[in-house]
Amino acid sequence: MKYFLRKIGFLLVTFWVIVTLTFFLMKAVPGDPFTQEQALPKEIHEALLKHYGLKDPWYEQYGTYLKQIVTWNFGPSFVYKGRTVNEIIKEGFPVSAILGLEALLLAISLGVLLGTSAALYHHRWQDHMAMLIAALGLSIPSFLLASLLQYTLAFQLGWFPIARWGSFIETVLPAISLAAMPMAFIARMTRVSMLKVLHQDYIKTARAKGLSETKVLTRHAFLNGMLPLLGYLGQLTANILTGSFVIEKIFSIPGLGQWFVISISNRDYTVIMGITVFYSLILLSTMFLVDVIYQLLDPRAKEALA
Amino acid sequence: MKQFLLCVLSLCLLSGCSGSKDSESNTLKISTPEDAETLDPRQVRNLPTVIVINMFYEGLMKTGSDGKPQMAIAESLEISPDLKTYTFKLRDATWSNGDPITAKDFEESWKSILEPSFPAPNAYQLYVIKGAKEAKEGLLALEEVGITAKDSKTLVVELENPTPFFDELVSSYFYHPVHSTWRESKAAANDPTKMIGNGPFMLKDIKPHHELRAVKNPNYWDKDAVQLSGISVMKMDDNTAMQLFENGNLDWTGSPMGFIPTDAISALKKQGMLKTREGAGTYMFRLNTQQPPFDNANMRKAFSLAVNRKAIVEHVTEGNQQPALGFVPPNVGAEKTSYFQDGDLTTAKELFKTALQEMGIRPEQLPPIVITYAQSERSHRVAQAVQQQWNNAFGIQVQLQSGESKFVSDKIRKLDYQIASGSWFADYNDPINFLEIFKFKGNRTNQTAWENPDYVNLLDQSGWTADREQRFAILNKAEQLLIQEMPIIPLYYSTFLYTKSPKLDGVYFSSLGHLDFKHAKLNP
Repeated sequence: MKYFLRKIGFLLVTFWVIVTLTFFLMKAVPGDPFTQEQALPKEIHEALLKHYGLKDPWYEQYGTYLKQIVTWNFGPSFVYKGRTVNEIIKEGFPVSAILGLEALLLAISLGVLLGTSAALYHHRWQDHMAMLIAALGLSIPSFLLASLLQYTLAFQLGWFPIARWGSFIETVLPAISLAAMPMAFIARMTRVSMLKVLHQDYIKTARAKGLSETKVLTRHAFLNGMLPLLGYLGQLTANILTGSFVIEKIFSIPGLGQWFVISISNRDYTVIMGITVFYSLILLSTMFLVDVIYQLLDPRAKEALA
Repeated sequence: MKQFLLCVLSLCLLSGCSGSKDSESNTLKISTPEDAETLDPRQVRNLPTVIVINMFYEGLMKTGSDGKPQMAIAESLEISPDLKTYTFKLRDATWSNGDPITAKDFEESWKSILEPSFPAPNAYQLYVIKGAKEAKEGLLALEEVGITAKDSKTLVVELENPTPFFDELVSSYFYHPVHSTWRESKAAANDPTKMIGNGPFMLKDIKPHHELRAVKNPNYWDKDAVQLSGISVMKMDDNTAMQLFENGNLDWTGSPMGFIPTDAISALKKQGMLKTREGAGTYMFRLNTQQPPFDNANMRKAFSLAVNRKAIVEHVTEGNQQPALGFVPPNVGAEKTSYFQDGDLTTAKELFKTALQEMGIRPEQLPPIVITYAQSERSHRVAQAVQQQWNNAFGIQVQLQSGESKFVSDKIRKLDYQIASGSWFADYNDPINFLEIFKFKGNRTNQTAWENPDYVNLLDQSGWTADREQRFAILNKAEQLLIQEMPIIPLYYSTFLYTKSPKLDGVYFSSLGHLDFKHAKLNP
């Protein structure tokens, strides 16, 4: 229990460091929401800055901002009039999350499947095949894969819609593009750790007891083989749920990833801050969750706790 | 046949196989890389927003398909002989919710823009009205401003000076009215979904960062002229848009909302599908006239004359642009448009020598020359071409420096540059809109630190001159002076590149980059 409290305290401090750092970095970048090439007259520019509270001293702006985080009300976007940051997150996140979950399921199931079969058929064609796929997945950047899939499967063959968002069929290509790299990574990780596990003494014991190969695998090898993956999954989940700018752009998906990048180039301060806070909360909480799960699964860690 | 089937299939998939209803097929689909930022005409800042705003709102006047202002919500206009009082008579027209549009709507909308605390980026476009500037600065009560609704159908506007282009201004979105519900709400940003407009179309729904759907406004005064049943403005990347267009899922893509991807231009040209529209815009380099070597006028001229603009528009920008040998684009009204010879290397070299002598330095003592630009493929390629041309002409090394757009804008504003890539696009169709950006050193739009008393005089004079011909002659003189002094190096006049479905006609594309869908038609 004490362990978890300490962990939570540590996360809160990390969170505070992130939000403070973002605030000052954001203010340090030249330009403001109203800087544009066809510059506005000075008095009008100043009036706009004043209206949005950007003329206040930094400590007041920082205070307002901390208050906004605590009350979970990030205020309006400076650029998209009449939209609040809360609305933007509420609309954008489910889109990114649905796509992310789909990609995550795909990546984990295919990755584990490939990795396990590669380990079981070590140095045979199944192994080589799986590792070839993994090498491809790791080396092709997602935007390239996305463009490739879009051009061949959608534009030329017409099997899928080219882009847009709204029905399941439209999520297929973006999910595959998003899943490819983590899938490859998972496959390689699974293979390595399964190989290690399969050579352990207790697996030999299990086999010697006369257990069937399936039972050896499911009861003894699989779970232990999966443990190292957990750490990676936490980070991956946070990344993939919050959306990918490139994939969302290519397939024209109204997710949170696009908002984030656009808000930075717009210097849309409230949106930048709101989304950063939201992202870091997701990242920190998945990290925490992974920790908890790890503790529950691994008897050695449990013992260490006690 | 096979392609057709695929098109149908993908269309079906996109529309969820709902079956094409009549209104569906009569809905125009257009792509935009950027969402409209607001549906409040008082807060507009960029072209994609203007285009959406103009679907939903109409001013007293509007730009007709001949490019000239014509009556819209106003039925008639009377101008006093001194050109300082404009009396508009309104026609019987209603808002999209059925409320009548009154002169009060205009008076109050314009005055709300001039309220000192209201965040209106374009408030300065109203400064031609008597007392407007003082009111915005909080020095004058709003009641004193020269906008009066005499009765529900008569609006009288008094101007500071005779302003021969006031009809152009009134036709632009700066002068659109907003419904009373939005004027009264003190929140600076109104909920876009609760918009009440008065234009040919009205809002159906918005999915932010995805799609904005408009439908025909049944309460529009000229509704019989409107042929489309709706317009879908779909937000997407320009490259994605190009693919959807080729598959028949879009009716219009490219300018003015976005751009045709560079690598698609030549293919579209071959198919005869690339459309161009001359724009009221000029691409240029600004020169920092505050520091050597460009504090020397001859040096500025030498660099400008050494640029081969024809080569740039033919081999780099490739969009039928015209080389700019002046500053005001030809379609903005000025008659004389060429003030010097393009790529005049002989004169350029002479001027370069003279300038070096004046500065008392040898060529190798010239400070390093740097071109600063906001990162984009086109600016980069233009800068590279000019770099090469100057190297050939003067044997000097030119460095390129690019960065993120706001970062670069900020640098230029602080005069922390030597040569900076830039452009100016007209807000309304009059040469003054171009010339006045360099009127004073302190103008935010100037950014060259150049100022010339004669230039200021000429522009002031043009403000008093009521006669059109005379006024244009004065403005021509001012332009000539600007070009003589060369605080800028004009490069080329803009063209808008776009492509549209052959089924679509009747869209009016103004040189300002505005689209008018009122008479648009999708032929079966």
